[in-house]
Amino acid sequence: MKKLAILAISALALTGCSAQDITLVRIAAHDSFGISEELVNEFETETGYELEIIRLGDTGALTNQLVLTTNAPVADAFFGIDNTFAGVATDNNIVDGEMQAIDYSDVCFNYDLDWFSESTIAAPTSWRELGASDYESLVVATNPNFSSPGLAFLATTHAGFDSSAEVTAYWQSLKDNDVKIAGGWEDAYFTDFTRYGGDRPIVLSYTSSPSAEVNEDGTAGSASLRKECFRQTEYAGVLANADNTPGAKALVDFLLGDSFQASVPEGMYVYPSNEAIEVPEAWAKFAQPADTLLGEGLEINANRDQWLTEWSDVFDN
Amino acid sequence: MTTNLELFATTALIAILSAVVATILGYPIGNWLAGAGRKTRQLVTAFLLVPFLLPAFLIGITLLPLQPNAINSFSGILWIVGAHVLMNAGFMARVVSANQIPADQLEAASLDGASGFRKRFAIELPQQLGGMLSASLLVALYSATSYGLVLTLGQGIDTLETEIATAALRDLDLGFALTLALLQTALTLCFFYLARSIGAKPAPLFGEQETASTGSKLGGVLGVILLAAIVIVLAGVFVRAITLGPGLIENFGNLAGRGSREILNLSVAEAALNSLRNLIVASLIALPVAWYAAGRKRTSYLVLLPIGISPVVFGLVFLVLSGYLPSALSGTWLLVPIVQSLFLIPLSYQVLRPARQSVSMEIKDAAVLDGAFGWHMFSKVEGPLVRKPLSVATAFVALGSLGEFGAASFLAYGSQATLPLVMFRLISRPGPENLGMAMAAASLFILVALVIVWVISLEARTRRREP
Repeated sequence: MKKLAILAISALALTGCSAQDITLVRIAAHDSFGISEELVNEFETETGYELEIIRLGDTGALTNQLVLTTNAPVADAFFGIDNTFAGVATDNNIVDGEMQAIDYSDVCFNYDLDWFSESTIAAPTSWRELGASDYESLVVATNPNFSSPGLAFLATTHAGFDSSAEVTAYWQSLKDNDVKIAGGWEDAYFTDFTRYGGDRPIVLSYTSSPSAEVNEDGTAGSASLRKECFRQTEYAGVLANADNTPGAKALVDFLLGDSFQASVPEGMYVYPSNEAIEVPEAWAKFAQPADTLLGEGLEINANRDQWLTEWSDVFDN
Repeated sequence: MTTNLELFATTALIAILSAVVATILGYPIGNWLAGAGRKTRQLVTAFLLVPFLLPAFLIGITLLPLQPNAINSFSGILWIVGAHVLMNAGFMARVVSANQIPADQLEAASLDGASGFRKRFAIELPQQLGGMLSASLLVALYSATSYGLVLTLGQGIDTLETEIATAALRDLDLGFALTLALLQTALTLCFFYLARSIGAKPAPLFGEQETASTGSKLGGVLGVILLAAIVIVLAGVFVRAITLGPGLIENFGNLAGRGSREILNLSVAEAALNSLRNLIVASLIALPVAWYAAGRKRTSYLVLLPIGISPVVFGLVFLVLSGYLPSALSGTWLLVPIVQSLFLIPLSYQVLRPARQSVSMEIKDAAVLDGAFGWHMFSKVEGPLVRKPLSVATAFVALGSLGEFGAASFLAYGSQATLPLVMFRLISRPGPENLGMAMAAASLFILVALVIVWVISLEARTRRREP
């Protein structure tokens, strides 16, 4: 009798396990991933899945953590691997199927309009001018070893010059001009940029950043150098070896859908990949994408280590 | 590009300098403490031991606001060594004061006409040296594995541990990371070999010996300076928790939130709960294993094996292994307390072994004859006899798990982040609100450590009152 009961319980437990669908879907994302409660509810109601967001640091940390845990991934889907790290993801086979472009942003220098209006120095017109003596001690960039805009700008310089020697000479001119190298974008923007109490009126950021710097009277507080920028495209995808592949696919489809795409300008300060989506009015006025781009055909993955070594040699890191 | 040899040399230099300076300072302070009255000794010792009980990364956080913005590699190393000395000099002093020479020996030497200088250096020092070397070894090992502290105060100083993390987590070069991990482990073995070959032997940390030693004026001055430095540094954390950012109430209130611009994945309070959960699991593994091993007749070298191995190395190894572990374990929060317990077992074993070995076989045999066994034996017979070492071991395990940074930085993801990880993130990101939160969390951490030290000393007092 006792044996029978055990058998019955075991059978129940087994059928219970096999019949039970996986309802949880986990997405690994970088720290800047923004999705509203309403959108999470919309996804969960539409698909029946429960969403868990696991933030794994910046883009580099996210990509690397996913590579290091590829045999037992911490999530089912990912968001936020960009074109500077996409090669790492594909080389290490962490993606099941294709990566889907979700949004983009253009990395470029921004300058404080109020600061320059009170100064006799004219604002720069291109990143190529930043080694000039006028801009001595006025520029803050970010360390490409730790920051994705930093790496994007390093790639920009490699696309913008014909040889490594010219790139090194440019960075040396920045260093000689007392450029400040911050650890990350937040440090550069919220500590060193003059609009946040710092002493550097020129900061490496994005073409979308001026939309957050509109003065109370409705005038622009900052502007960006929109020539020769680097376009960062962020991707989402299903992770190889995921526990819940169908859920991950449904999530990626949701990120490509109109609701989420319409939310990305204000949620993450980036442009939606779906060009049919209208961006907010303030964006059309203050946060136009770049006029010209550089570096679209760069072999970033093959060159990253070499570039970083050369850059570190200049800055003695 | 820093070479492997340079990394090895930098790590070894930091560890050796820290141990030597802590010993040089700790020796006169310890002798002064031994000669001081019992109450003064207990009070001062309790304060001096607080930094030793705090996790290394927290000492980094307490000193960070005092550090100038720009430091070079030389001053960076000085800051790191200074932080290690602040942490460990009190511990060294405690070891010296607990290993005094019996009063009758010194009285006999006085009768024979030995001068104070001669007594100190011909009679006392040679007998104390073995214990001091053993404690110095511990300080060196501790200083070679203070990843969180180096990360916080080093500003670009590369040690084996920081490079292991960079190679694995940033460059995805696991081969290089494992090579460095071997070098880090080789450094530990070198320290053990060195300490053994110059005559280190384990010394009691908690005993007290009535001594005729009076200590020197220099010891008193150094003791007061060290005490003042510790009080100023720790008080600075409380002052900053009150004055930085939006002020006292909001800094503590913000611990329920995710920081300025929501830079954290989870609130500090949630991270603290994660740490508490890890602490309980790590204690449930480490203490019973250490207790069992400590009761065996032979020394359990297997249990001692992980001692001195860097938590960063453990983190790396388990990160590599996680792809091959059962999926129920890999990628879950359980991995962190399991890994923590691996290096907490030898720590608690070292405290419990001498205590369990000192319980006489006669008492145990008598208890067995009376029918005591298993839980009964522990709760009614052995437990009460070794209550103090047991509470010390528990405190070490609790603080060791709560403040563990290296392994967690490899294994605790997203919403599973621990308190030290979110505190480190808060101080690495700009904004007075974030720094204010970090200081509020640090002051709570220090209070917990103070309570633990107080409970241990209370335990000691209670024990003395017993007949």
